[in-house]
Amino acid sequence: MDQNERLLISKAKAGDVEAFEQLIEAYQKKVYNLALRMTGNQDDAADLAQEAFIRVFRSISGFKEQSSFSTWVYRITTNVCLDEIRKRKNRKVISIDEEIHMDDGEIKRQVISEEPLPDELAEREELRSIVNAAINSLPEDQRIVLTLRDLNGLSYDEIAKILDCPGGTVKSRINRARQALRNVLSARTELLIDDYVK
Amino acid sequence: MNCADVRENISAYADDELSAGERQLFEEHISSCPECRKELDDMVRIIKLCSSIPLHDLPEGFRDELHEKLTAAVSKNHGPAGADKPKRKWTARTFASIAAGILLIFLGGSIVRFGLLSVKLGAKSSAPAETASAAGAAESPAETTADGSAGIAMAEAEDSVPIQFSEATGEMRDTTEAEMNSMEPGKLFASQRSSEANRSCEDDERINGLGLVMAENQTINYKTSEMYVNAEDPAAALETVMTLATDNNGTLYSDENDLYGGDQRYGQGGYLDKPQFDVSQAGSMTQLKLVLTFTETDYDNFTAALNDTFGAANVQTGAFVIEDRTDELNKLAEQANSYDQAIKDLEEKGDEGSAAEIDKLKKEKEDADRRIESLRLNSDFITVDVYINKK
Repeated sequence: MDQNERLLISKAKAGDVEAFEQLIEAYQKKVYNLALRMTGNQDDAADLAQEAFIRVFRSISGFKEQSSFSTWVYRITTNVCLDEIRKRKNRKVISIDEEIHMDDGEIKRQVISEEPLPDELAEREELRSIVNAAINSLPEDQRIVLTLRDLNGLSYDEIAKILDCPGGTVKSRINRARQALRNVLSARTELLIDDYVK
Repeated sequence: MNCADVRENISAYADDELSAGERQLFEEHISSCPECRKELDDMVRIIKLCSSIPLHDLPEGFRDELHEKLTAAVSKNHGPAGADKPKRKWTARTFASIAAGILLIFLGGSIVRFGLLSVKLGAKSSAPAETASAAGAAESPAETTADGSAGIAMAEAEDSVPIQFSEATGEMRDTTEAEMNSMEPGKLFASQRSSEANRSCEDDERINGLGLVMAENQTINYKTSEMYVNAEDPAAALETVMTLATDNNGTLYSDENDLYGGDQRYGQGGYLDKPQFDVSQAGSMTQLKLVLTFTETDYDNFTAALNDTFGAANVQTGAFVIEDRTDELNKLAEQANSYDQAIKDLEEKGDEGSAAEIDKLKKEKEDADRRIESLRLNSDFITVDVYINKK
């Protein structure tokens, strides 16, 4: 933790909103994107990201500086997102286009494969939307590790701390997530050709 | 490594997360197995694809909205710098600091452990009213000082809770508040048990006060541990213990109530302040108590330091106990959900009269959230009750 961060943390603990905002500046976009991945919806993501920061702010006086601030922020964010997902599950009605996951996390049936595929896959936007849809079809435990890894560039060790699980679990979840993605995407083998990856 | 091992480790290899040894084995296999090599190539493409997706920009107005919420959190006294609500907490906190988290128990060495045993029973079996009155019996520390028998009597009654200082006298409040305010960031504060007791009185489910609180600490998911130190001069020993705790990154115990507070109890390499009690009374104290939290490594170091300083014969430590508080967490999460649902329902109804009710529910929801966060926050740490007994 660098000196500046430490200073900002101590100011934030004393209730300094501006210091807190400086402190979280570097995390806002990442936290929002993490929430977006977890909810798949921009409005919810904005709400959850704000909820996460409010929670961070409220509990910062209890933040033990023995762990890194970023780990803690992501931890609260993932908790907020998982709480929301859990909440939704309690309320959910079965949707006809709901994806089905097999025990090993493999997708048996999911929406995108039933939709007409775009003719010009070389379009980057379309490619991205397909990858996004594929990622969104993963079970949340896989989605969360994958997002922390690919979007936020965190190490396995950091992810393990954030999710409070063993490093081996992170490793196997990331691997399973990518295998599942590959299975989804290999339906369009051209996606796996280098030219399409820019 | 065989093919199955390689497939297991393929992501970790691509992410450069394998140890040097694993890496070598992995590469040896890959160089001789075209199928696995193909698998690796696919994986690398998948990774490139995934990381080629750019981050979305923050929605318009995100920062402003957040700023408003943060400012509201501060002005509503729910933020770190709250004034009114924390003030109430301060009272309890202040009081705790008077005793530096110390329960003063007179005379009986035989009752040293009573709190731990009777508390469990008390929390489970006693009616709220009983415990409340028991707590009331020990309203001020001065009273207790003058009449230690109150503590003993309660100690012996199976259903009772130990002495609980639920209210400080005005005079003490003033003194210690001044002291607390003069503390700098980085110093550590006293145990917060009575603070939680104070809070719990407002809370139907936790009306048992300190008894329940202590029982919670022992029966729910935290790692807890007890230590006993024997010393000729407990007051001096307390200072030594606090110094050792500080040296080993220990912090004084805090609970979710701290999340209201604006103080900075989590010192980083700071030092623990002097015990906040009248040293002239220290001679008559037979037991002092301190509640500290440590990470596991620091806990080991702290234990070792205690043994070195006081001599192994004077220090009794036990293994820490890990207990699962998941149920509590789930219960809180459920509560939070039900508040959310109730708020939503009320909002949908749109009755004018329900605004106050919604506010109240929102507060309760925030409260639950805070407790959830606190549970999660503290669950990495070991909470240690250190009892210092007069030889």
